[in-house]
Amino acid sequence: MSWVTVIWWMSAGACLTLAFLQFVVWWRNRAAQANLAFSILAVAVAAFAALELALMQAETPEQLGTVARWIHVPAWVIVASLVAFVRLYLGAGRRWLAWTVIGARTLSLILNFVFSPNINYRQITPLRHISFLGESVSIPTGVPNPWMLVAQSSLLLLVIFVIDAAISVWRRGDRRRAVMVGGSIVFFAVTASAQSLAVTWQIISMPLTVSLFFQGLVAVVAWELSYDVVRAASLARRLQASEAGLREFEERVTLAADAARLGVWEFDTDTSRLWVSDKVRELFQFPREIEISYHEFQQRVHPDDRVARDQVAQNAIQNQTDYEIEYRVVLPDGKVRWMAGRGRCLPAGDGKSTRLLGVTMDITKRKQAEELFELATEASPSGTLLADDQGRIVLVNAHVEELFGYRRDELIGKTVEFLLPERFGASHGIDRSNFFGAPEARAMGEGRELFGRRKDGSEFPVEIGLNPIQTPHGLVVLASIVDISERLAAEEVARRSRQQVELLSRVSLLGEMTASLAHELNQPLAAIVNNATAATQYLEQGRLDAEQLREILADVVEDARRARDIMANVRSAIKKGAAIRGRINLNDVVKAITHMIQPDAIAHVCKIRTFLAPQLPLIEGDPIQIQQAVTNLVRNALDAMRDAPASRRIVEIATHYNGDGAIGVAVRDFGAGISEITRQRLFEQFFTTKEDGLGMGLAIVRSIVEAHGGTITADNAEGGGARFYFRLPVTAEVLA
Amino acid sequence: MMSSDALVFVIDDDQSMRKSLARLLDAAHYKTEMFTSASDFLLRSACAGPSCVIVDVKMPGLNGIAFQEFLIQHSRDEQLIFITAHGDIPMCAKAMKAGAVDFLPKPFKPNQLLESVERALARSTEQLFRASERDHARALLQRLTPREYEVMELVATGLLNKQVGGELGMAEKTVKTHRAHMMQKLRITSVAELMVILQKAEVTPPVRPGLRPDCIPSA
Repeated sequence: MSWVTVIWWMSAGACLTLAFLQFVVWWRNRAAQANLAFSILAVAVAAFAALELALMQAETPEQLGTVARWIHVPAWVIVASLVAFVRLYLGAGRRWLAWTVIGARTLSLILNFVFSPNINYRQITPLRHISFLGESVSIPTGVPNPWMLVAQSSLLLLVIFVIDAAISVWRRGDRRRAVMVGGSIVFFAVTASAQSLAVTWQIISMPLTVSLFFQGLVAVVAWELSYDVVRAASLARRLQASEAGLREFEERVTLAADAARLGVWEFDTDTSRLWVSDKVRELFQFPREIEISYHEFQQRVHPDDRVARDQVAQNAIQNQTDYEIEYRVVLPDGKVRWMAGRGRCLPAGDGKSTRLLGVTMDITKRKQAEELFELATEASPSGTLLADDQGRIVLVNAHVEELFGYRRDELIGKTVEFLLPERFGASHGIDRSNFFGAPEARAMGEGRELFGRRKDGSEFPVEIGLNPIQTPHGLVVLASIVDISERLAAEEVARRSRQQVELLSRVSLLGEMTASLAHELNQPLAAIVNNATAATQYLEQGRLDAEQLREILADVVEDARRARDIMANVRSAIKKGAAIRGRINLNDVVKAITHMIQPDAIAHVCKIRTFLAPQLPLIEGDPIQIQQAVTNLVRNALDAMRDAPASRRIVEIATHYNGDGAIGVAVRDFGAGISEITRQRLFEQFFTTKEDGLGMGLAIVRSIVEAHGGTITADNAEGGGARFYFRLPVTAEVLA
Repeated sequence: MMSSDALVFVIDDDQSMRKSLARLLDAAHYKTEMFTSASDFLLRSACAGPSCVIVDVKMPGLNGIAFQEFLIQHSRDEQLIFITAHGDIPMCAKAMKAGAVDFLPKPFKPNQLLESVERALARSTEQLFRASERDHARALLQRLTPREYEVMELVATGLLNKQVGGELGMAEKTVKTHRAHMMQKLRITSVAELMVILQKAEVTPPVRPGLRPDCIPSA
């Protein structure tokens, strides 16, 4: 073995080894085409080296010519694979230049086989044997073929192509590669061509050693490729580390998503594969571990919402945007749940395939609450309106539509002033800001009459209750609107009929008074007439003695006095406005008053309860005055409970008799009671706690009670409220 | 003027009224008895002779109208004159329908009252007379045997002896015998006299068989 053989075979072997390694790399990862190109290049270089060795050991000029001809085949492969490698590995180089290089080389290959013995020589004359590395090698001598320039020019073009590619890689920023790959290719290609030119044109006397240069190229490129492998390995390590971090992050996200009851999913538009988190499976009741298709997913969506949901998703994919939608799903068990879905379309790394990422949340409870709220609002017996802090109408129920004659969509977004007559509109804006300054439930426009304005411009009286509601989106006001025109009309009717009842009861009292007056007067008058007639008869019969006459006359005088007293009583009663003495059953008085005051009680939303003592003895007195006294007390009780809650608005009227000669009447309310200061002046004339009071009511009551020989007291009852209590003496006769 | 044994009762809670009425009636020669209440009057045993009651409508306890109802319920036939200080028309109508002699609002003219008393006592006397005649006629009728009573009833309806026999299932001759006994016991000689006795006794007149209202053939 000589050095030449050892070096050439070793280098060829090294090339083949590198080729094999890179081939394996390509085999594992078919995308790594650059490695395949390198592999081919290395094989070609090995082949070139083998032929070069054959060239050196050629015995005859013919033999040498043939080998030199065939050596162009690996040379072509070398050029072509280099071009391919540059294109694939550097990702640069002009396409047309690449094809030009390959074209020129192919042309030279064709010419090589056209000319005899090859493109390098026209004719090979005797071989020369020279000593090379201590070995005798054959070198050709002959006439060089000028067409050889075609082959050389192809190498020149290759150099140009590589320089151009290296420049663009340099510019791209990958300077190391540009220098290493571009530089080595240029260097070895130039030196290889130079050597082959010099040998062919017999400028230097040495065998062709082009393969060595190419081996250098292969070594550098192999180094570069293995550097890539090393880099890839370190990248992989880093990737692994970051993947661990990513997994941790993913777990955290999953935990957070689970905690928020968020289902997460991803849809790859290219592969149409859908990945969903366990939460999504739970929400949609998909079995675990089974891949779900987009179609299956869509099947779960409620038929009414299916198209809409699909459309927003498709739209997001097309326009690479986000979407938000609320839709219903029908679960296999038939239950319907509400979902809120959000999605975002993400372009994938290579700019071609896209992914749709989304989260899904069960919002059934919220929707149910919303539905419930809407149902409750709709079912509300009054008109219900929800307005935001700007006074804009957010929600109305059917009653509002009915009341005002607008359709729902005509009202939403308008300010509430829209529903008020213009004369209220301006001041209402101020009222509204005041309300929001100190929001509390109250009736709107307290103390004055409010009107609503219908679509046709007509107005109607309304009562509006305002309730502030604090929501996450700010303060809103729930207004309930009641058309009170009917109630006002009914109140008017009630007021009139109450007046009539009062009038009637006055009239009937007057009638009773007259009847009782007649009875009282007729009794003594009849007696007088009888006595006088009897006296006349006795006189006519001549049997009237003085004693009898005196008796008769005394009786007549007595009866006449009785009649005069009655008349005097009537006169004083008329003068005082009353004071007819009669026998009164206080239970009857209480019953009459309960009946008479009923309209007032209804107007005050108040109940009247009576507790009547059984078998009450009669009292003597003026029925009208007694009635007046009790009525005043009951009216006071009603007024005292204006501010009391309706459930407490009760007036209790009770009569008591325990056989001690006086009947008690108590009128009790459940209002605020009587303060100590008030109590001291309670029965004074012109003392009042009412804004529109005269201060006469209780003064009259006291004078009536005292005129009947009774007493009146006032105190605070147990359990709250005031209690007025008066006692009237029972008629002496009854007691006897 | 009625016999002096006539009695006028006065029920009134007003003392001066009672006293003046007592004088007025005394001056007219009536015997009187005074009561302060209707229940006091009812404690007294019923009067045998002609009588009448002057009663105040409005009284504590049993009032005039209730008193009248009580009397009717207990088949007492006192003649009532109501006096009242404030009567009304329905009350008056009710009292008159129930058989009151008069209803006088106070103050009444004394003569008016006395006329009413006179009328009441006349009615009372007539009533007493009718009652005695009735009692007499009833006593006569009670003498008859049951068989004679049956014959009498059929004879009163105008049936012939033969028809009576047919009705009662006896021979005409037997009927004749019963009839004779009946006439004898009642001390009458004609059917017309029988009718008078029946009327006086206030017995429900017998109905002729075959002429009962439910048997009258429709035309």
